[in-house]
Amino acid sequence: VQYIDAVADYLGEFEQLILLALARLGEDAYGVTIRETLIERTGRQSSFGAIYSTLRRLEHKGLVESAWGEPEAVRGGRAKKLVTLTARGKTALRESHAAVMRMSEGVSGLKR
Amino acid sequence: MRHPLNWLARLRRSSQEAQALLGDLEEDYSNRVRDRRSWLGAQVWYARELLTAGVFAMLDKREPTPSAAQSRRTIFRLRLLPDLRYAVRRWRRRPAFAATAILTLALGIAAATAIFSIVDAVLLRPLPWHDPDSLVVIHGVYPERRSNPATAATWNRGDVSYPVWDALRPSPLFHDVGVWRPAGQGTILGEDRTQLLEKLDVSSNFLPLLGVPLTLGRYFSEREDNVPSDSILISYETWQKRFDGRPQVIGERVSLGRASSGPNDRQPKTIVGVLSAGFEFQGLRPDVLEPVGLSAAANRKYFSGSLRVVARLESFTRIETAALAAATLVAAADTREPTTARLVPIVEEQLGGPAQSLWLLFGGAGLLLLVACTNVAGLLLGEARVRRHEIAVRAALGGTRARVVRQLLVEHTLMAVTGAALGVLFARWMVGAIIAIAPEGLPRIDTVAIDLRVVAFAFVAGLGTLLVFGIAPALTLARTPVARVLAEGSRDGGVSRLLGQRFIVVAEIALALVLLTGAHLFGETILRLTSQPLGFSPDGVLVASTTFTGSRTGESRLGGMAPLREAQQLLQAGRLPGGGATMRVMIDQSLRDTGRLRTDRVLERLAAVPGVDIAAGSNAMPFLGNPFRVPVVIDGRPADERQDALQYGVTDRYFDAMRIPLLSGRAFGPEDTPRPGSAEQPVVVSAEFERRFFPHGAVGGKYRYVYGGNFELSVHHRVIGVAGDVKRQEVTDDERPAYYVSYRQGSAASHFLVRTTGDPMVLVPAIRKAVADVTPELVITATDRLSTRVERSVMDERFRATLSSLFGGAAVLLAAVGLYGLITRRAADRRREFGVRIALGARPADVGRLVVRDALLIITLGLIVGLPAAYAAAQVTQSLLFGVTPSSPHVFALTAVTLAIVALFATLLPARRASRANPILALKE
Repeated sequence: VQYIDAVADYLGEFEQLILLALARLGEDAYGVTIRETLIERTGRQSSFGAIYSTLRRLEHKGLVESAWGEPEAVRGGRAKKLVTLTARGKTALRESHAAVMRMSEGVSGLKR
Repeated sequence: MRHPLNWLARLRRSSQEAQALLGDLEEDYSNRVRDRRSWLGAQVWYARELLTAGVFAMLDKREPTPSAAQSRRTIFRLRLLPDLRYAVRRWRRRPAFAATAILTLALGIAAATAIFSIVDAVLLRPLPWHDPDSLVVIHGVYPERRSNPATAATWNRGDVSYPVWDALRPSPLFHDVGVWRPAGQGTILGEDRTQLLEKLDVSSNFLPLLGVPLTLGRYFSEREDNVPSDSILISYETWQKRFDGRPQVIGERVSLGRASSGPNDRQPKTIVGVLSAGFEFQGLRPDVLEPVGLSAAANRKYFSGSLRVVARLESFTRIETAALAAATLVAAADTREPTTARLVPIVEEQLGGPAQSLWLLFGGAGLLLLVACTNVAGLLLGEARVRRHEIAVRAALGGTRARVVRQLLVEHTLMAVTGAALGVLFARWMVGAIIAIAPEGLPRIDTVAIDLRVVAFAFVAGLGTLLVFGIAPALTLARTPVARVLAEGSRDGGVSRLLGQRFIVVAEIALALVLLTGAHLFGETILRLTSQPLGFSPDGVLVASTTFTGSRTGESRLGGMAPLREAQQLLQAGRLPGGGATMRVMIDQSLRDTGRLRTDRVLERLAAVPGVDIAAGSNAMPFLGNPFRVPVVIDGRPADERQDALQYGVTDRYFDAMRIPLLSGRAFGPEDTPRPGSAEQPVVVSAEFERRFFPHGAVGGKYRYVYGGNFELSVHHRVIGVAGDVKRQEVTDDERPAYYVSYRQGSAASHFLVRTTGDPMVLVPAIRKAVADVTPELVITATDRLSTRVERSVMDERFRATLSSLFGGAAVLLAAVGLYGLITRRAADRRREFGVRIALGARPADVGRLVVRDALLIITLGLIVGLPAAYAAAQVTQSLLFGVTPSSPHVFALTAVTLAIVALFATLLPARRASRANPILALKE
């Protein structure tokens, strides 16, 4: 099974948002909290399916890593997929944020 | 939360991830519900989430994470499937190899599976009682019976009496103690056609103790243990067959007749319950159950032992404790006999007999499977040599060792599964054949079936053995020295010593020797048994066993009653000379007369049936019923010197019909009709009787049969002839003194036998009709060839002999095939050498001898390994043998020679082929 490690450096917008959410959440990042953070911060109602697919892509690129938590009753006895940023993930986030900042520098009408 | 759309989440490739997603959904969902948002909204949200998740999962299908484990389906699709396809392609290219391997495996699995299905049904399945492990039977022990050969068989498994039951019941070690006894046969009166019923007397706690549920009605009450009662329970089958399964049967009254008993035997009964289907206990399938209390009072009085005890232990009771308690309680019971008691777990009691034989056969089948697997391993090793080149090429192209091993394991698994599936098919067929020859009385043999358990066994056996036996070839291949093999090019590489394969064939020959020895031992046993002289000729004899169901003084349609009726009228009128005493003598006389008359009429009709050469009757027959065992005192000996003798009652032509030779004197004839005033009864004695009691010739000798143990009541016998000895129940019986009295002395025949020249069974309908024409009260209970009955007594031995011969034969065949394959390959390897030898002047015979010598070495090694194993295995069979001992040298010599000869035959073809090696072709290569 071949996987071609391409365009690892490019970050999509939703990917960026999720990485930011992970950075914010630290140890307690998993489906529900990631989703809540997204809603809280952006007002965007994202689906779990989208979040999981994005996380999988990020994991692929080596930007995040995951671990399995303990099963909980409130989750119907199912485990959490806990996600954290890797060092490479933090770098990528920093770089893409810097890129956005550099691009937006001096552009009028962005700041309120 | 269970949701019909949850499967959508499982579209994710990682099932763990799918679980996490579902967990997230559930957590969020419960938050929503807790926050009192609308339930409907939460539902809609949940479903929409699942749909989206499904879509996303499908979108990222082609992007698996390298870290996460791949789903099983992917492994199958990407790894196993190509391996499987490859395996099938290879088999197609080498159909002979594939077919031999798979069929060999299937054969081994079929044998093991077929026997397993029987072992499973008969031995492994729990008995149909509640908690059978805590059930025990308690036998009476009668040490003094041991000295008497006739009772020795039951000395430690005797029946017990009421006081014994009373003594056992209060013990706190037993949860409950029940009793039962077979109560013979009966009839339901008033049915169109008289049919016999098997009856069983049971205590009220018997069925609850075993945990047998009722279909309808109630159990017997405790009161019915002690007082006479007219309650009966009927079996489910009787209910269905005779009462049409109608529920109103409870409370119905029926009249039970007792087969062959005294007058007034019409007993009105009330049906109180119906048993559950399939009730069977200790090999009995009773139709009617009666409370044992029917005759409790009488039994208490007489202390006679007729009861059998079944008890349930308390959960805390250890079996040894219970055994000790039972022995002590019985010894102290208010009765002279039995002396003490013996306790046996019911599992052992019911299955102990067939267990040894079946496990032995299972062991045999296991060995055969082992031989089959060894053979397949040999084939695989041979195949491995053929494939060296291919494997080397694959390795050179980057195939790892693990990859090669995996490919081979897949191939072996496929082989095992195919073999197991075929094996199950064969086993289905084999089981039917095995059951057909299985000895009677194997419990639960009717429940044998190829079910899931058995199929599982077949597959586990197939996979397990092939994986174990496939490892060596797989590793050999995986270790292929790539460079060397490739350097050799496509040619076979030189002379190989084929060590692995030689080892395997040696093992096969050793195993085959073990199986063949077993076959020999059991085969010789059955040969010795069937060549035992019986003393009569069973061939061409049909026996119809009958039971007289009518009352003997009742309104018999036979003639002998007329004088009795007259006398009765005279007696009532007070004009009978001698009064009541005369009447009693007349009744006695008429009883004898009616029995004799009935026998005469039946014989008349039988003799008239076309095809019947001789018709005769008796009250006891070899292999059909036990003769009376009576005490006799030879004239001139002291009155207390009593001897045991067996007594048969026979009709005039009995000796002719049975072809029992008359050694001296004459047989019975009309002149032996008892005359009034004659005190002596004419008898024919057996050769053993003469040998023991009249060493100077029995004819004319006199002795007394001590009737009822009272010397004063002796019946005087005068010997008129001497007949040859006959076997009684077993072909292994020893000779015992026996004598025959004429049926004219008052014993009606219950077995009728006819001798014919053709197949006796074609006479059955005519015989049935002839008997029924005489009186409908005479019921035929069984018709059989006498030879069948004799054969049945050796069914156990025949069964073991047949199966062990099949196993032995199959093992020898497999070993021969294995040896053939090996020698062929060895010869092929050496064909250059042979070519050179021939070119240098060796004669073809010399080359052939080289090949045979090669084979001889392997055969000898196999025999050397196999002999001690066979000797050890043979000792296990000791108790099942007759006329041959498991250590007699001739057994091992003969089996070893047989095996060696068969094995040498297998090498003839390769040897011939080798001797014809063309030197020019061989050298050119």
